[in-house]
Amino acid sequence: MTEKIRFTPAFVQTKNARNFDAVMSGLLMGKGGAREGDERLGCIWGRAGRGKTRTVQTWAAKSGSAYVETVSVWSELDFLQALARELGVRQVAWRRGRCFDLVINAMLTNPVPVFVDEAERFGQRYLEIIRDIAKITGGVIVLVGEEELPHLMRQNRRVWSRTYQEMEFEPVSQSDVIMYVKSTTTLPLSAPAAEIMHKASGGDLRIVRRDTINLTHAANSLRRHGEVDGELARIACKVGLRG
Amino acid sequence: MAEHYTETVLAAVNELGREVTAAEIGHYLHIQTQRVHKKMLNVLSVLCISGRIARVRQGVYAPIRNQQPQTIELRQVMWRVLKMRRRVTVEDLQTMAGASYVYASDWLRMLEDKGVVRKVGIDGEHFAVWQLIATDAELPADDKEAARLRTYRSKKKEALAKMRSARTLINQAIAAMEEEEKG
Repeated sequence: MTEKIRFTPAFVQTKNARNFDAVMSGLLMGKGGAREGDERLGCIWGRAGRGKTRTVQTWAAKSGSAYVETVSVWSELDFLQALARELGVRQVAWRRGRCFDLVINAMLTNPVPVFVDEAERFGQRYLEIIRDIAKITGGVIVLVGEEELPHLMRQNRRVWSRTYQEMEFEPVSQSDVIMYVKSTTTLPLSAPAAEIMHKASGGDLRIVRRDTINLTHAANSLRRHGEVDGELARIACKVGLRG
Repeated sequence: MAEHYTETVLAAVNELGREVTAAEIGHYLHIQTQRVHKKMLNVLSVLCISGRIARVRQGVYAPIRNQQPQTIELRQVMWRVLKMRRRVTVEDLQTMAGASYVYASDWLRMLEDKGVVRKVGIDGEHFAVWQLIATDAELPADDKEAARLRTYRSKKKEALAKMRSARTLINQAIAAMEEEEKG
C-alpha cells in the first residue's frame, strides 16, 4: 500500500526570499549597536501576490523587528502611534511632536529595523517623517509597497539619496515552482509539469500554493505518487479558479 | 604566519565592534611602521573580499554581525506573526514561525480559551482561520505548559533529594566498611 501524499506547509526560500535576505544583510552591514553608521532606507516593491508581505513579516517576526502595516484612513499621528506601539512604547502620546519623540527614544534605546508595509499609500509628507526618524536615529527603515513606491521615493531626492537598497519582488520562476512543490509535497515535477504550473500561476505564489494543494488531491485520488507529469499538472491547474 | 595575522586583524575589527577607520585598527594593533600598516591594509582587503568584514566606505570597515542575533522563543515568533497578520491559519504559523502543526494548533486553542483569538471560519483550502480579537493584549502565558514544567521541576527536585540521601548513605556504608577493614 502506497502512502498518501500530504501537503505540508513550509516557507520556501524562493529567489525573492533569498534576494530579500541579501538586501537586509546589506542594510544591516556594520550596524551593531545604537547610532552606528548613517541612516539607511530600503525600498521593497512588487505587484500583489508575489509574497512581499509574507516574506517581510516572516523576517520581522523571527528577527524581532518592528512592522507597521498602514491603513488608508490613518493620519500622521495614527502612523506615529502605531509605530510607537510596535517599538514597545506602552503609553503613546496624543500629540504628533510628543509621539515622534517617543518613537525616536524607542529606536535609540532598541535599534531594530522598521518595516512600513503598503507605504505607497502615504504621500510625501509621510516620507519626510520617515526620513526624519531615520536621520535622527541612524536606523534602518524599509518601505514595502507596490509599483508606485519607487516612483514616490524617487520624487524626493533627500529620501532617494538615503535609499541604500531597492528590490523588486519578481514573478515566481519555474525553479521556484519546482522547489515549492518538492518542499511541500515531496513530489518531483517533470519539466512539462513545471512549465504548466508556472504558466498557470502567472508568477503568483498564492496560485502556486493553491495548485499544489490541488495537485496533492489529484495525485492521491489517481494514485500517482512518482514524478508529476504534464497531465497531472494540467488536472491540478484546471481545478483551481482562474481570474 | 599570514593566517595568524589575518585572524589578529579580524579579531581587532570584531573587538572594536563598530565602524572603524584603518588608522583606528592600526592604533588598536599598535602598528608602528609603514610596512606593517601596508600589510594590515592588504589583510583588510582580503577579509572584505572573503566577506568576513564589511567595507562601509573607503578606509572605513565594520564587523559583520549576524542579522538575527537574538534567539526568540517560538511562541514569541508566533505571537508576532499573529499581531502582524491579525487573521492567521495554523499553516501561517507553520510557514512563518516554523512551528509544528500540533504546537501551533494547541497554542491557538489556548489563546481562544483566554479570549485572545476567535475561530472565524475556514479559508479557501479548508484551513481554520483565527482572528485576533484582543488587539492590545500582551503575549499570554501558556498555563498548561507552565503547569507541566512545574510538575517536572518538583519531580526533578524530589528525585535529586532522594539521590543525595542515597549518596550520603552509600558514603556512610563505605566509611564503615573501611573502618572495619582497618580494625
